[in-house]
Amino acid sequence: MKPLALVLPLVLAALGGGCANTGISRGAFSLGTPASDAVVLAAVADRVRAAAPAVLPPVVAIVADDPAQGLSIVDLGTGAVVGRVQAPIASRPVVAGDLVVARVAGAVVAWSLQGAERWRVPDEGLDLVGASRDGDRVALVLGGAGVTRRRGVVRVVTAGDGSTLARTEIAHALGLPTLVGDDVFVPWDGQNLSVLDARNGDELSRVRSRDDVVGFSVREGHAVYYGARALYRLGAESASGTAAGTPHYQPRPDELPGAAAFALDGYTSLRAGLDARERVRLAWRPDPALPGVALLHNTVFALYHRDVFALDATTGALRWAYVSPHDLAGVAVVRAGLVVVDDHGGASLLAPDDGRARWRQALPVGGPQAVLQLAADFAPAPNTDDPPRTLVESLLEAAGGSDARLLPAQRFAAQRLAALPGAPATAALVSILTRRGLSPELRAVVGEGLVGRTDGTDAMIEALDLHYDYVRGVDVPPVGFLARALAAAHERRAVSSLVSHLFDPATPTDDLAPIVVALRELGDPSSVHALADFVRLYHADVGAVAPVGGGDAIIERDITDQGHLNAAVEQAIETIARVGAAPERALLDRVRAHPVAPETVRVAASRVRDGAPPEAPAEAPPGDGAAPAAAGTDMTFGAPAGRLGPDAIDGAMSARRPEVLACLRDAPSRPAQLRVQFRYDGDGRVSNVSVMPAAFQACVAPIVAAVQLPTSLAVRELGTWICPTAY
Amino acid sequence: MRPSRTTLVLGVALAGVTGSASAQPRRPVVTTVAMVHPTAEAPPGWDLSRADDVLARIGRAATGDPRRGALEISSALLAGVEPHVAAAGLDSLGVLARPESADAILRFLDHRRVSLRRRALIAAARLHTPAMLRAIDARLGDSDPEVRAEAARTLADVADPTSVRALWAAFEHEAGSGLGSEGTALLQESARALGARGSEQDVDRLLTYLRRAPFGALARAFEASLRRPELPDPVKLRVVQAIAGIATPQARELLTRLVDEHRGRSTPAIDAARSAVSRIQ
Repeated sequence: MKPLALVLPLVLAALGGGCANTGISRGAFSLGTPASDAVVLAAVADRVRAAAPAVLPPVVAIVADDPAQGLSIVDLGTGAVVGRVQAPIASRPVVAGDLVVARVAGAVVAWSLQGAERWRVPDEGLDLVGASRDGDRVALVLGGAGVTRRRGVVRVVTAGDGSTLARTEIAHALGLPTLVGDDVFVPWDGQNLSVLDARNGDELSRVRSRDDVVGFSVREGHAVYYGARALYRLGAESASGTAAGTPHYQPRPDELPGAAAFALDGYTSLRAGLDARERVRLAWRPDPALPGVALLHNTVFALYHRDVFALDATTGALRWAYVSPHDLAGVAVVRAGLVVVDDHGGASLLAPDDGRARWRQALPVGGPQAVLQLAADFAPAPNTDDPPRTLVESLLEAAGGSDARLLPAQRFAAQRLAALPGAPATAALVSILTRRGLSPELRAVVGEGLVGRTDGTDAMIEALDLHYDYVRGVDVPPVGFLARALAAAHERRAVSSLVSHLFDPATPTDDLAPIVVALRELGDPSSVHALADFVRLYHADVGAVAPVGGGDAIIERDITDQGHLNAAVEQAIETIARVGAAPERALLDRVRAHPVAPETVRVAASRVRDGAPPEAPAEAPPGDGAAPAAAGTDMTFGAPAGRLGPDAIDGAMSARRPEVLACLRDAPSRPAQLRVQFRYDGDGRVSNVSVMPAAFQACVAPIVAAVQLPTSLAVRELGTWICPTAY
Repeated sequence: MRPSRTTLVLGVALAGVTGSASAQPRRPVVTTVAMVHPTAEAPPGWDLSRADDVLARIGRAATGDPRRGALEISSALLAGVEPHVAAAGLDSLGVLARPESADAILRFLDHRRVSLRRRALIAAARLHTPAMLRAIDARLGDSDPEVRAEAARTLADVADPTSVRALWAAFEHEAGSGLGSEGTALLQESARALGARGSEQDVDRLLTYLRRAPFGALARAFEASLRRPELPDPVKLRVVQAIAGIATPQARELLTRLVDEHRGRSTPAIDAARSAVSRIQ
């Protein structure tokens, strides 16, 4: 086999060489051509290593708001416009050395940086996929309709006049090309990287991936990289055709805003002007100075319209977040940091270590698309010194704002904030949670992030001091989440505030039960009387009442609200049964005998009066130094034994997640998560399932209701399950 | 049954408020009375699970000894009754206007039902204690627009100067809220309360909102001001002149009502109104 493998490429090369004089290769991209061996690829890598460095003037091509008006070319070193192209641009332009290349009607055109047309070639009915310049040649790839549309053209032209040196048209999908010296690197069909001879189009060598995707090739310094979902450095090891056998950088599978892929699809052309694919993506740059495959700053920059998140490429740890005042039209990674250009023409250099702007330049033009060409060593002189900001501060900014488009980035920032330890992070979460107009989805993310934090509870308690006030413009604080968080933190200072919210009519009814549960878990004796008052006030609060001005009696509460209220009364009854003194426990007799009390309330009162009240655990909760309860007179509830923790709920629910996700299939709008609330009992039975968004209630609720939770001491408790919907 | 709580209440009787020429202000006479608080248990003999029976007992309590009636009804409400029974109880407490009702009224000012909060406000207006006034003030910020408006109406009835600041806060919050020429119910009621109970300075301040706040709400305020016998004529004249100055059909309509209401009388304000009505087309 081995001799044949060595001979066959030579034979094919000889066949290809026969057509060299025509300038048109018929052998390239043949499916029958085998992958090259290590010797051949090592020789290719050596040629790249020896090639003269490309000349990359530091410019940015800024497409006009209406791409039909053309583009402007700005020198980022001076900030001056050096040229304007007055032509209707039909594809994202490519800056290729001292040329700007873009598709216009029926042709691919190259202009000088001053805006003068240099040459044009027919577009052959295809989009411009990419262009690469080296020396006095330019390699163009046409196609761009995706990896499944198998028609493409590779054309190598002279940079000066556009005369064709080689042209290959094939029935394959072609990806982003790279030209280095006499070698043109062209990904194709998602699986291959062919190296063509720029002088005649002959295929010189080929890498075939057997277990990964190849969509782009890119030159960086003295190396060529390729890949799609991972980043490979071309070398002898590439001959293995496997990820395991080839040094590569494998991006972490972290959930990033907008689920941005490691690289844009190299087989699909980007449009001129605003293209959402450019606004939600990852930016990175290989660092050829390091051995193996590494990224500059070991950082991946996740872009989301206006936001940038800098993540450690190895660990996924978030380093900093940056929020631009305007949408980002283009970015480029350089050794000095990340250069960003916004759609108002603001250019900045963000330091790689902390994200602070070190250089700012107001460009004379702005536009929705900025294509930057910057050498890795581009380093403008610092001209600004923003004050340092902590990661918490930058995440707080990223999680805020009223731009509805940014919700995924806000959610990401909030999740990362919740993962940070310390009081400042807690305070930041509380600050987000108490913002007016916070979306329900973000509220759920932040609120759940707050539960379980034990440091920084002062901020939570301060938030509880606020009560709704229409005139003063004070919104209802997120009492339910705060109650759960403070109970989990065993923060007894919250008791009086929680009681006060229990009796505040502005407190949402679905927050009442969490308040009652929190009061039980906090175990402060002072809350028993309040809970008894609550039961007195609302145990029979059903039916209609005549309006003040007269007329027919009206029912002022819908079924959902009544259900939430009943659940809260039930929880209060449970608490009184466990720890109430005789007068409070006597109240339960009246409740169970009341003819109009809701059935769930009466049943709860009967249950706790007929049977023994739920037993207190043998030991007090860790860290709570309270003495064991003297029967019915103290409030050391030891509630943790009576509830299922989030992990237990998630563990049971996750088994049904695929069925739940099936409910989202074909939905016109897919939420990032489902919030499922329900009741459960000590036997693990689930009931009263409520699903948000409500559009999925009918499908999801029966699935969740069928889940068998672990058994617990709970008589009746409320549970929440957050179901992420990302695949 | 838990024993009733008893507290001492300072009863302050202010004497000599009618224009005494004495240089020495007279000291208030302070008396102490023992006040019994309601319990949170059913009064003896009341079965709170039988709504009809409780309604009948509330009716009897409301027409018997006021102090005892207030205690019994308040105890029943605090012990927990059905909402329509609570509504009848609050109506009765408003009629009885006894300080023993305060605990129950304060509790129902925070009830989750709008109709019961509104009834509690009406009952609260009859008590006129500082604590009750603060509680009514707080309802100006209620989450329900009907309750907010009821609170402003209540404060207009109570006529306590300590509430003026809260009324202004409500008025100014609503002044820019739009809703056509009438404004929100809270704006209308807070404006009316300020016009009816505010000082001369308050009336002058209301005038500054002409053309900046819905005229319908301001018209209610100025009508209330112009009906106040104790408001000096120069203030009323300023009100009429300011309304005449905007010369809109709504302004003419308001001034016409004023003229019709005081047909045959002559004061500087009414005369100015007559003149303006004839002038505004």
